[in-house]
Amino acid sequence: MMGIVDRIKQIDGAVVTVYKENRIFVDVDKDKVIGTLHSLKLMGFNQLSTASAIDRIKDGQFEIFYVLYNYMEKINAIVRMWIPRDNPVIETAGDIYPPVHTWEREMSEMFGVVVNGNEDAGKPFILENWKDLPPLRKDFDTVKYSSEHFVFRHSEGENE
Amino acid sequence: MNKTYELFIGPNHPGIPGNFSLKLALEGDTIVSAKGDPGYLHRAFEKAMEGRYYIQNLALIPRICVPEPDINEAGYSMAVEELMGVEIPERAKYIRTIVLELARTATYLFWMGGFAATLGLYTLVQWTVGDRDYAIDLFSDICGARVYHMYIWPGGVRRDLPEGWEEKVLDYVKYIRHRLKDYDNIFFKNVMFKYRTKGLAVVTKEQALEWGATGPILKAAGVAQDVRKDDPYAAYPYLDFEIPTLEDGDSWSRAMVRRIELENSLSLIEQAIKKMPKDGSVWAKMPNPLKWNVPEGEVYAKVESARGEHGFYMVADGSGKPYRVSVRGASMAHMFTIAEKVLVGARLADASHIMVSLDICPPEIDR
Repeated sequence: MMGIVDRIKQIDGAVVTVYKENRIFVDVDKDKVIGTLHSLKLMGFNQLSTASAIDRIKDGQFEIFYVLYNYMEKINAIVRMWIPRDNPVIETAGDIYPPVHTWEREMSEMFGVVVNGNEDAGKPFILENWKDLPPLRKDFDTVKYSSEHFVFRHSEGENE
Repeated sequence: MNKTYELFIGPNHPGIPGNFSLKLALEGDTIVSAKGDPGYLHRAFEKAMEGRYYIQNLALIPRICVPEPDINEAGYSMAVEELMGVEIPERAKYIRTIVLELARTATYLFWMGGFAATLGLYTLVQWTVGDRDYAIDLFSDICGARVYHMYIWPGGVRRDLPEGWEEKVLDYVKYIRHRLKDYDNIFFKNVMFKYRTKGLAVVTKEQALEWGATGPILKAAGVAQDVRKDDPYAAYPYLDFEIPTLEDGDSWSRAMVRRIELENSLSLIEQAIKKMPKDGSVWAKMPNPLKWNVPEGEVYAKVESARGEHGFYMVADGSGKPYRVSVRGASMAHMFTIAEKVLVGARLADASHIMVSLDICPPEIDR
């Protein structure tokens, strides 16, 4: 009988890397990610643990990852894809994994990723009246933001 | 006439476990819609971690879950160790297990008090919060800190156990086991507890799997899933324990699962103390913490918290600071995918109780 890793390798466009006994990376192109997530769910990867983005600013890309878990096989599959930083658009995976809805919302707020099909993505989630760059982007300067928005308070007796 | 009205619970309502708010729409006292409103506690941990050395982040991460900080230390350390290819000494594995299980008992005691309080029984919260303090004293003995320990470090634990600590822990285990009978008599066998919680906020097995439930919510729905068994870490592979499961998936079942888990934790502590090597190093040889050379890579490390799977997705770029750390707390799915659904149809009087029954920990959302 074909093992789970071999079955995953057969998914169209999936590049599989086993980095540990029970952890595998599944790298796919942007347009294949929904199909891959769907196939993995059919293979028993029922649980989506988390999903988020990584700002690969030097490459001009965002890396999007989805951590899935198959509790029968006791294996984590981490699906990764890269999307251009200047046009960061993905499709929602909410129809396949309902919990991803919130992670996509967070991704959209913190990285500025546009999530097609997720009606809450783009609406304020954690942040309130945020008008700056999405804060988890690497080019968001926290010190600059703080100095522009907050007054530095000297403590009593301190030389100004 | 519009019969629906809006009600805000939180961020300081005693039934909400921390700074978190719920926006409810009600008809009479029946909830017709519920939306979580996070952000009151956001301290940008994930962003802050990118600007600090790996070792410095140990002061930040315990704050990602206030009642149970140690899971963060363990998950973070495991991710760094995996990237660096470090194997921790045997004694450190056992000490980690004892600390993590001790923290789990403290968390369940804290939770138990809050849970009973949302049903109107305030005696138990006095008892369990008082008893939790004995666990906190034990943490204070090993690291000097009561709540945020920073004791589990990449490579092992910060320092060896003080003399006589194991005996104190065994006394604590004996004491809590004895106290469990009192808790049972006043609460778990109380007919009002059963009356209020049976059939309330049901999450079926199919829903639990579909909605990304982990920990007691999943176990109460009949799925025996636990990171300690499925992907063992620390000294869990050497210890004997069962994963408790129940079938109904209601508030009562979740409470009973946690009640059994508390007993299991006590047993795990005893086993770990018994089997722990009596001497040996507690920290793998590591370079100067300011010069850690963490190789480029991506890993996902996970541990079992009192609420479910708690994970760290860590990306290293070969420098002294992490490139990205994404924290997965169980409460993210439990709040927005589960609580928002099961609150609908419930009565207002049960709203706070359902939140504690699902054990939502707001800092896991506000990271």
